[in-house]
Amino acid sequence: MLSVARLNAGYGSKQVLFDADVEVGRGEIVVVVGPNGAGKTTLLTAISGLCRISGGTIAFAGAEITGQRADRIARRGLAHCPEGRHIFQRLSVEENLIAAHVGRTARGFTALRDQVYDLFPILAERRHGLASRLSGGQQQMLAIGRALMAEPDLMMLDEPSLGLAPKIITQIFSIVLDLALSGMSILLVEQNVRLALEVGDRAYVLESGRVRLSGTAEDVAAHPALAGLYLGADHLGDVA
Amino acid sequence: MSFELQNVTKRFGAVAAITDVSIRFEPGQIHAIIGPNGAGKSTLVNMAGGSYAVTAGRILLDGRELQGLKKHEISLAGVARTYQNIRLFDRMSVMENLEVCLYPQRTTCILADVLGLGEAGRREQRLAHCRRLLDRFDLVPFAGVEARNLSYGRQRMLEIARAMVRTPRVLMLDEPAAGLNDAETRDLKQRLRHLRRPDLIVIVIEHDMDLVMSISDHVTVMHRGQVLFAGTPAQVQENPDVREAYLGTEDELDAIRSLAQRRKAERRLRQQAGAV
Repeated sequence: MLSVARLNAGYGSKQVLFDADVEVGRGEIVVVVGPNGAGKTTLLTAISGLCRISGGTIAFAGAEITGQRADRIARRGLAHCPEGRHIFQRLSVEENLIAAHVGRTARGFTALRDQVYDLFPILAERRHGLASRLSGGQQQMLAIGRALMAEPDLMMLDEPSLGLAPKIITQIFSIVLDLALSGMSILLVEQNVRLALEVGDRAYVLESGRVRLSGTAEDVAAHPALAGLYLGADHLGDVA
Repeated sequence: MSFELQNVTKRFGAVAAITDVSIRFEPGQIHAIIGPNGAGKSTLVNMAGGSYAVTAGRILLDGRELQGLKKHEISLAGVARTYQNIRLFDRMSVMENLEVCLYPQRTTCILADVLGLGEAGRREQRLAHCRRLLDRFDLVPFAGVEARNLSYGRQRMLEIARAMVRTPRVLMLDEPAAGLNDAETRDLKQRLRHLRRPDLIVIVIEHDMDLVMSISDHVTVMHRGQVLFAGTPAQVQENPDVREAYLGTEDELDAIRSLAQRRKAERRLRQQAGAV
């Protein structure tokens, strides 16, 4: 579904990602973990066409998308829920969904919107309220709902659990799991490592802009160097 | 000298970012504040520096209440900081970035007047002070360069130098290693170690655990807006609660784990069905 090969990317003259290889299969949940500043968010922004790519290729659904405009990439069915949600605060809940409807298939706005409201009933209740009035968890739901309006084959989620209460996290992850079961591919960046490794089929560990470790989520979870990577006991440098 | 947060709380609307946090910082020490994303670390610095008003609680420097003061008043009281995202005066030279911070300072003028120095002499004094500081950060060769033309690593150094130009009593560094490469981080580590002075409190917020554990005398771990644990670097590394905070807790996991396992089982079934 998604194939990232030897990707080099960054911002201005600052290179953040070095020779990153990442694969996501159809219906697969792939998680990306690693300490702050490792390049996780940059990986997602590079895939969506939002930052500078200086080398490597990105292929999605059989076509190369490297260097394409972000809106074109989104229309191909690759949606991105950015870190910090970035919903339109001054628009109503429903207006956020209208703005996100790109008309990728013949399914109309109403059908897609109702599907989002079925998944997140609280959004239907708040449909005419300002998005800025939503709680953090509801804003995350709206961000996911908005991504769904683009009818994606692959959804990228950047730290969806950030700052949310455990109950809400469970709710959001159960929906992500359902989406994956319905055939959607998921690329998930998550700071909560154990959570990520429970949910994921496969995992990549990024550190200092490089993939240090990858494999099935079970293998990565069992790797002795994982805790050290976060708490600074020893370095993952020689592991991969 | 003492710098203290007493029962500090910060709410943004309905969201509690910081709940009843008390920390006492000791002079002569490097004090790190760590914690997972969203733990409230930067919010603490933003309150201590006057960028955010506290919702409740007190911030005390030598018994003087700083909460409610304006940013520049807090700076004049001796609390300096750097930012997660570098905020230099881009179009000013390296030297000017430091010098401009000294202009409202009157105390040196009195000394200069006694010595019979005119404005020219006072300026010379200020420049000499700035040059000594630039020297500590190996920035003297770049004194005339516009800040925006420095490498990212040197911009970070300049930001720390600038924070020190008024000889603060409290120096807060918000993620000084963010965006630095390995060599620059090693260099930063050495420089931060040399910041220790008996009359200075250094507070470092940082995600780079190698850096934190090797330079800090004391570490406070924040989690969900509260102090989770405080102790020496070794105590922090061994503490099971800290490990959980970083790697996730069991409670949170249980519900999601069963959902995830159900999905994996279902997925395997479907794959087998597809293969047949």
